[in-house]
Amino acid sequence: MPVTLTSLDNQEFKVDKEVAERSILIKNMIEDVGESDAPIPLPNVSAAVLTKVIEYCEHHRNDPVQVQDETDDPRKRSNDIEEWDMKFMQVDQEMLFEIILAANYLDIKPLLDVGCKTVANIIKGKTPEEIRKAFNIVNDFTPEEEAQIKKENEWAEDR
Amino acid sequence: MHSQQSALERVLGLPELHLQVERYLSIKDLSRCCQVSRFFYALWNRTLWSKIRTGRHGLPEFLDKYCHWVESWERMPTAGGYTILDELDQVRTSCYHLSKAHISFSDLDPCGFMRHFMGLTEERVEEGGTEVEDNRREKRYFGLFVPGRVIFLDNDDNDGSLTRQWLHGQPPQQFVPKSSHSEDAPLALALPNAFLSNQLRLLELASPGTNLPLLDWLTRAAVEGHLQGLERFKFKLINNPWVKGWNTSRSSILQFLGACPRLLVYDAPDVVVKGDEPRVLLNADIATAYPTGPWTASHFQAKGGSRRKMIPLKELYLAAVDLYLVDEDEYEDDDGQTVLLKKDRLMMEFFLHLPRLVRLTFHDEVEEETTIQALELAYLPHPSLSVTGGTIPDLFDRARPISAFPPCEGSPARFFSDQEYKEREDQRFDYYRLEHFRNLGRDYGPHVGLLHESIEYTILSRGRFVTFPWLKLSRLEFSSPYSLPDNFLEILSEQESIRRHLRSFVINISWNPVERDGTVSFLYLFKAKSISRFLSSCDELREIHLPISWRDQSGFFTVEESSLWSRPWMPLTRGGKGLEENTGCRDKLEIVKFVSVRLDYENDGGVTENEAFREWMASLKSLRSLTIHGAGIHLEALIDLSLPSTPSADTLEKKELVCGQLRELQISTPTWNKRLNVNHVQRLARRMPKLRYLSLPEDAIEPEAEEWIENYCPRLSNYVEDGDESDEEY
Repeated sequence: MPVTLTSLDNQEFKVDKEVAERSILIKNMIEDVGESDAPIPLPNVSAAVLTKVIEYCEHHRNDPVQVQDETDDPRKRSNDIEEWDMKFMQVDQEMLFEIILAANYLDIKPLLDVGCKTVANIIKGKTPEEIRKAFNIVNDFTPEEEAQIKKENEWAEDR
Repeated sequence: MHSQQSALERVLGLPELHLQVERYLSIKDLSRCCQVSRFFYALWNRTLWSKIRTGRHGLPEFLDKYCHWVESWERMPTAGGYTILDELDQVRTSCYHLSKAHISFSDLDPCGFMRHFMGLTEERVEEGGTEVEDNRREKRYFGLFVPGRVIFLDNDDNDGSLTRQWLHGQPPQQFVPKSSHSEDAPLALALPNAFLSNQLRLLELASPGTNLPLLDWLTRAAVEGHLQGLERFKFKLINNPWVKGWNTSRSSILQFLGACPRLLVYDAPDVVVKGDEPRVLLNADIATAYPTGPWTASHFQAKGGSRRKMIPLKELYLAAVDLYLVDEDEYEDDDGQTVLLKKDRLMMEFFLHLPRLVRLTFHDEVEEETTIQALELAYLPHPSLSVTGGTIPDLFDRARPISAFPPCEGSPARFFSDQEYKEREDQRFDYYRLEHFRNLGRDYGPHVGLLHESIEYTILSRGRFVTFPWLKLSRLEFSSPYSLPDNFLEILSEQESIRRHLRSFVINISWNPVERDGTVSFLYLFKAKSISRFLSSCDELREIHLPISWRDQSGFFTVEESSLWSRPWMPLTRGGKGLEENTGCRDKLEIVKFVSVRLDYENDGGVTENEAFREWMASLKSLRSLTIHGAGIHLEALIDLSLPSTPSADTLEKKELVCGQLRELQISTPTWNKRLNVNHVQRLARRMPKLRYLSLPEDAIEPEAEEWIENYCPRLSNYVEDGDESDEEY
């Protein structure tokens, strides 16, 4: 049975229920309201972003439900991203961040994980200047502040 | 650009998202983020300083400025160890929110450790000089610390009176060392405040020796009201030829456990628990000295007869535990004199104080002789039991019900009457729920194993616990095929409780299966049937680890009707009803690890075996992780796991299923015949769409193929960075 989702800009998307229920938020809403033809409003997600999110959910519709990782393993790997997901995340950064926010709002943990790993991968191994360049960030430190902060952080460089 | 930065700020500004990203970053990454912009500085600086790692340069220069953010401290060994006191002092006086501390003293030898940390003075430690004297001194002395003083008590304090004398009032002066340094050395030993604060949730210590003083020191700190928030305590012995492991008494451990009301995990696998030796730091008689302390409160509960001390501990890791049932035992001491040692038969009282314990691990690598003779798990609510080393001849032997001992300290042991015993047994059945059993025994290797098989046979044939109908065992683990008598497996496969609940079946071997392959085969072959039969009976199995040597492989693959491979989880006989088709656990099996499997294309038998292997693999629709420590693996065989060399429509469809869900593939073999080229890797990647972790032998991949992986298939490149990340991140 299809479910109708309405985006921030009032576009309607008809998707299979099992696809829509990859979102825990939507799953809970459907359970709360019961079977209904009424569209589900998603006022925090634009049509462009919702299109991408639905694409992700369609692709992963048969994935097993992710079990919460209870282990306190401090070492996390950011590069164990599936190939399809990696291509999926090859979007401009604004879209990347919007997808992450949408995944957070819609409670789609696997998508959120992939998004955060992608951001971490952009940061990992880069110098401050390279990070600025990657995210288009302006260095707004004064030279004195920059020198001071660099000195404060020297201890972390050789560890 | 503005909106883009805004979206970035919106993402990282949310604490939960910020945390998600941060956990993938190393300290160095965090440090560099702090230097990007004011926004990034505000975002990451606190995170950076929440975890500090000190190495050869000691504490960070600007710690004072950010110490209030420090939550986790990992102290690595320094060059000379001279900064330990400074570091401890600075951390304890400034890092008020420290909740995790990992401290290694490996840069100190035992004398240095005693001198710097425990407060023994140089003269005291270094007198004597021979190894024997050092060991003896280590056994004899332990230190108690008060501001400005160090007190030594030795085994002459048989009844604990000297200890009590000190605890009630002034330290017995005859035990204060006469060293001229005694007033100087213990400056840092005044019971600490912040370092052992109630904020501390995790404390991991690694040292080259002598945990006894340290445990007592920590106990005393806890009794004084520190460490009240501690949840996990780990103590690791760093390899040291002078120290052969630690002995400690169960009362010392119980006192520590009782003094830390939130402690859930006590992990000291190098500590050998002995019967109570006459060295009592804190006992019931002196509890009144601390009328308001948490330890006292819990102990008073214990003194109320039926009310037990409610220690919340859930996991306990120890070395060998002395569980002798006899009241007294004679032994010869180092000087050849016969000593009558009271071995408290009430070791189980130890466990009676731990009503919430669910994971119990004994690791007996230190003692040469078996120490565990009997164990009753009736008081453990949902236990996971792991025993390594030694033998456990009376484990679970209902003929000697330890639970029958009155759980009252000091009462004489007695056996119940038959009626009482029956009542106790009936009562016990209700809550006996062993979930994991792990007997790693002592792995004698194939040659010695043959000689010891009869011993192991005795152990498990007497382990009648598996026949208890209420058992919900989910994991069985053994050290080697030799610790598995055939009849034990038959008993297992007949148990409905095992068939319905077992999720993991593991047989380990610790020796190199390749070197001794022939012997392994010889010994193992006759177990193939019983193991196959047993595995096929377990409908809910999710995980198997098995050694399968290449000679067995022939039998498994092609010869026996009941071979493991000839029919994927073959039909089996149940209850004399004859063969019946049974898919068993094929659809559910998720993790497979084989040792000594050989995939070989160079002879006909190899081809047949490989085909049988692949057919079996094709039936495992849920397989997520495959590990093969092969005796020899040829490239073609590996590639054909994912793609046949001459695919037909039928076989291709089958192969598509082979590794459809596979996420981890680890192959190690000493005889890797050729390297993977780009074509091979592309085929692997194509046929294993979910594969995210690939581990292959060194030089198994050609540089061009490696480059292709990094550029076009990074999901397979984890193996490249594994080592780097483990060093860098924590």
